[in-house]
Amino acid sequence: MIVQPVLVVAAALFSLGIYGILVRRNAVMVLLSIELILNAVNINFIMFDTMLADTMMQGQIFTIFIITIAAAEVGIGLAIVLMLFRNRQTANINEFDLMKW
Amino acid sequence: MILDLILPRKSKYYVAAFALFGTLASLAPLVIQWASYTSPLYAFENSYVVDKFSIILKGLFILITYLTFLLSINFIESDKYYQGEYYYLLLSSLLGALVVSSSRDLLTIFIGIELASTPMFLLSGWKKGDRKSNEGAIKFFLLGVLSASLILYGFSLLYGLTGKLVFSEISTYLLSNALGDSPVLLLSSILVISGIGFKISVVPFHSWAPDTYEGAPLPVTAYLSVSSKATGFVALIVLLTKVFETSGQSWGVILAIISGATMTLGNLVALQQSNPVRLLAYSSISQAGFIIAPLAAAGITGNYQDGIFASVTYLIIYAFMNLGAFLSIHLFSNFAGSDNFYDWGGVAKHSPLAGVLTTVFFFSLAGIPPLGGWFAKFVVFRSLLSTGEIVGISLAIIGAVNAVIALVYYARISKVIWMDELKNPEQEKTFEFQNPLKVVGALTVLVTFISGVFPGIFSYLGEVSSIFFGN
Repeated sequence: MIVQPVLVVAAALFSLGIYGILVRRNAVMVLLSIELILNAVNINFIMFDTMLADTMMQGQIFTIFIITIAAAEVGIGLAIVLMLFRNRQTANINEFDLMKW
Repeated sequence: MILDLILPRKSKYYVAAFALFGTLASLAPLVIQWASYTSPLYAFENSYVVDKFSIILKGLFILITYLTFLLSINFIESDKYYQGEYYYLLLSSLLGALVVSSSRDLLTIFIGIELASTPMFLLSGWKKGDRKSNEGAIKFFLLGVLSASLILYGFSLLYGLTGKLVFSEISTYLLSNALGDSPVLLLSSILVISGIGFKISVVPFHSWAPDTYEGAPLPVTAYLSVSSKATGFVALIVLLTKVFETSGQSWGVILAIISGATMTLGNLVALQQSNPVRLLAYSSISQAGFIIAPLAAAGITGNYQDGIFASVTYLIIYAFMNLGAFLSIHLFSNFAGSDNFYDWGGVAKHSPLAGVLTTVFFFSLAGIPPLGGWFAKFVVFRSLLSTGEIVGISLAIIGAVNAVIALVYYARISKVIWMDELKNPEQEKTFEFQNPLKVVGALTVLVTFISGVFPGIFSYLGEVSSIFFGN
């Protein structure tokens, strides 16, 4: 079974997600980067589940929960971004600097 | 299983009363469980447990939420926003906190953490038209979701290493296969610590806290700084001592560094603040440093019982005095109509009662005997010094220096409200101290005093933490 390449892909997705969060300036793109990390976690769980031949399928069940929670979170996130956009006409997180220190 | 599943209907005044009553009523099954307690009860293949540790924490969470509701009643009614959703979201968050304190497997604890924090994203952006509230909400949301995904990545590595999800099975597996110092385990514990670090706002991960606290409605801020934080601490304590107990040496050092940095930075920045909410935000950051210090020392020595006792005691006392501090800020900023506490000169003369309350809470936060905060600090220092390790002693020294620094800004508020000149002595505005707020004040002050004067009531917590660790 190919284990290592899959885990490397997951780790790469994770790093890409972190990079995206740090570099992207649009709030929606930051949300997308977070989704990348969650998908990296999903790949990890599925791979480990298969690798360990878990009879209780715990990894796959965990993945289903993560997908559900991620959907809920994106819903909330988009609502907040929409609210911001209405009040400010921008979704650039560099401009959210009303409060510092 | 005591789950407070109350769905408030959308009828204006009944909602608040119903939520208050429901929260209080959900204490009753807890009391029954406590009275008829014999041994820990397990459900769902050991993934959910009811032991004394979880019963105490559930009681704490329910009381905090009850006090938050009392704080919110007048606040929410004075706004033109919806009421039903507000109570519903807070109750969902409470449910999450209750799940966290009982869960003993990775999936359940993750869902608990998410359930506790997701409604808070919405509540912190409650004031839809207010740009500060929007900004606080987006900062909180982005970092909150990032932290959840870090925790998840840590969990997935742990699952890959052991193939188990239930805590007891994981730690048995790690012990029997001598995987205690595996690098994967270390990486996973670092990811989990940094993920939960966002929730409890310790130093490298604290940047969202002051902004969100300032933007959110005040009762929500009080809830965030107390219950939300406590949920994070409970998750951290449970995960570190039940799952990562074999690698205590390594996470102990990480936590010790975080703790020292948190205490110092939180305090130094708090000295500069003129907005009382931001001041309390930084003060609660530095208090978080005090709460994790005994845990760090416990990780290094392996004497978890003592560390957990000190952390949980501090957490309980901190919860009540911090809620009280938010109450007094709420009162004065409404009265003075200013977000800068230097403008509050002499406000205590308009209402000596509120002035005394404020002084009590702020002195308690500073740790002056005979108030509760003193006993909390005493327990933490005792636990740190009794380790005899260099890490414990140096943390105690950092803590002692910080306790002195903290006194400066806590005492400054008391000085301003009592001794400074009245700003406009002709002011005709009456001081509003509504009845629900009086109840909050009375309850929090009661706990603050009792825990300081009769610290004996906490001694049974020692027995509780031994049960927690013994199974």
